[in-house]
Amino acid sequence: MSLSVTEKSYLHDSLCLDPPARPDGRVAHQLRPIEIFTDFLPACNGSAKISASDGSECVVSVKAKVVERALEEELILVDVDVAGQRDDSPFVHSIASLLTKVLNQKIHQKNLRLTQKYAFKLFVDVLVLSSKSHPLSLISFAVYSALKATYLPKLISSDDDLEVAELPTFHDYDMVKLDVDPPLLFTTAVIGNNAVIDPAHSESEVACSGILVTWSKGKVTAPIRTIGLNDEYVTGIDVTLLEKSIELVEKTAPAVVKALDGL
Amino acid sequence: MNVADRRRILGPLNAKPLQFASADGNLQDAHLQETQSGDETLYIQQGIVTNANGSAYLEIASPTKNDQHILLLASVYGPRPTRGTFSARAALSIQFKENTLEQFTAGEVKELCNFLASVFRAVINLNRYPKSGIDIFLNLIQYVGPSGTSSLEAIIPACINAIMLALIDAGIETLDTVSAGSYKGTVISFIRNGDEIVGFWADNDFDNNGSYAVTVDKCRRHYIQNRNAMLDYIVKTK
Repeated sequence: MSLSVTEKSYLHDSLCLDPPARPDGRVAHQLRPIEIFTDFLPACNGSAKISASDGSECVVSVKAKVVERALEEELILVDVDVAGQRDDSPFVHSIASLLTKVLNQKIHQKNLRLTQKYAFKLFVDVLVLSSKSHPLSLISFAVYSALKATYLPKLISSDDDLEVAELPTFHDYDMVKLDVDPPLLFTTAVIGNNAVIDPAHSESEVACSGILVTWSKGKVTAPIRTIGLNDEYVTGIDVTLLEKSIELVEKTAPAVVKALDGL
Repeated sequence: MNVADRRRILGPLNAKPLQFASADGNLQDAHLQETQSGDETLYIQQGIVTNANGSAYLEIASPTKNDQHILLLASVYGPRPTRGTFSARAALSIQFKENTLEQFTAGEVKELCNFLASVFRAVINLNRYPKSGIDIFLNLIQYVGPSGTSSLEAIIPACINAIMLALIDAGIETLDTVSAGSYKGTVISFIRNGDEIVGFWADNDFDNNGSYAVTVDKCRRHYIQNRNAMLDYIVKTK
């Protein structure tokens, strides 16, 4: 649904008010309601499906493979597929590249270590079924839940195989829960002198700038970036508004983490 | 360079471009300029690609940053007419290519192009060019990072400066002279004398190198150095 010039102007003006009047009645630090199912794909080690109130949907699956640690640089690989976008579009590519980088940076390799020689490599496949707003934060919530619901086969052979040439053997039924603390990515939109979290489609259309903020291990960390949310309304933003966005995420993120961990 | 036929809003037929008196009498090396900007040495040359509407070649050497060396060429094609449906503003595309050694993955290059496009969408006055497209091509000729490492944040300021100089050469209208400054892995692109941010890229945590305010301040200082060097060059050569 595209908005007319008048509608956009009305939206922009109401979002510039203090406090911002958001079209769906949320306050600045309120996210849209989301619904998450985990562990619904039997052929994967972990999976999650997330739906937002505007009909955006995203499915994430995690599969594991045993690899030699010396041969692999990155133990997590993210592949993104967005419905309606070409696989080689810059948008899809940059989301996949960013997620791969963030997950490899923030998840310690020792969590995936199996033996002295071998480790699990995780393949995180993301499928965005429908999305109106910028899907990054939705994807990151789904990846978080999927990784938290991932179970890997239990090792029964010795974990010291440096001297002996032995392939790791696994228990037939028993699985071990993957113990990781994945990062979360939040998007905020800056409109006028206001910053709002989790912009909906209509808000993205009139935002002056979008900011991506990463939350990991209880604090805001890098990468923090500006992202273009539209072509028409993008302008420079005041220096203080970036700080405001970071504060907004600091205020909201602990509750989001608590809710996602409660699944 | 024929300006008249690709401009959408034409002046009167007998209009002549403004000619400024040169700032200094010596015009022998009008297009060559080496400027000392802070700890960096900048070499700028505009109009190097003859078939582009505007281009800029940039060489940056920073002896203080472990001999970091960047050679970059930016060329701007357009505004040129686009076919198909009507668009009220120009479509902007930015492509980045490494000419010699490929140090960045395809994903990183796409991230960079996306980021640069979002910066320049806020800066170029796209409303002035309806039904047109502006294509910007960046060629990284050489990049030697500190101790052989490669990081995107080291080349982003150079990319932004080079594109800005090429846009000026092409005569494309921008809202301000955009430039960027970096400090310990954080790159901030400013306009309006450092009051407004158009691009922010941080891949390292602030905690390791001071607070947000310190980072912004250091980046702003670097931005002002870069911008002044660019403006200095423009004033001296035009």
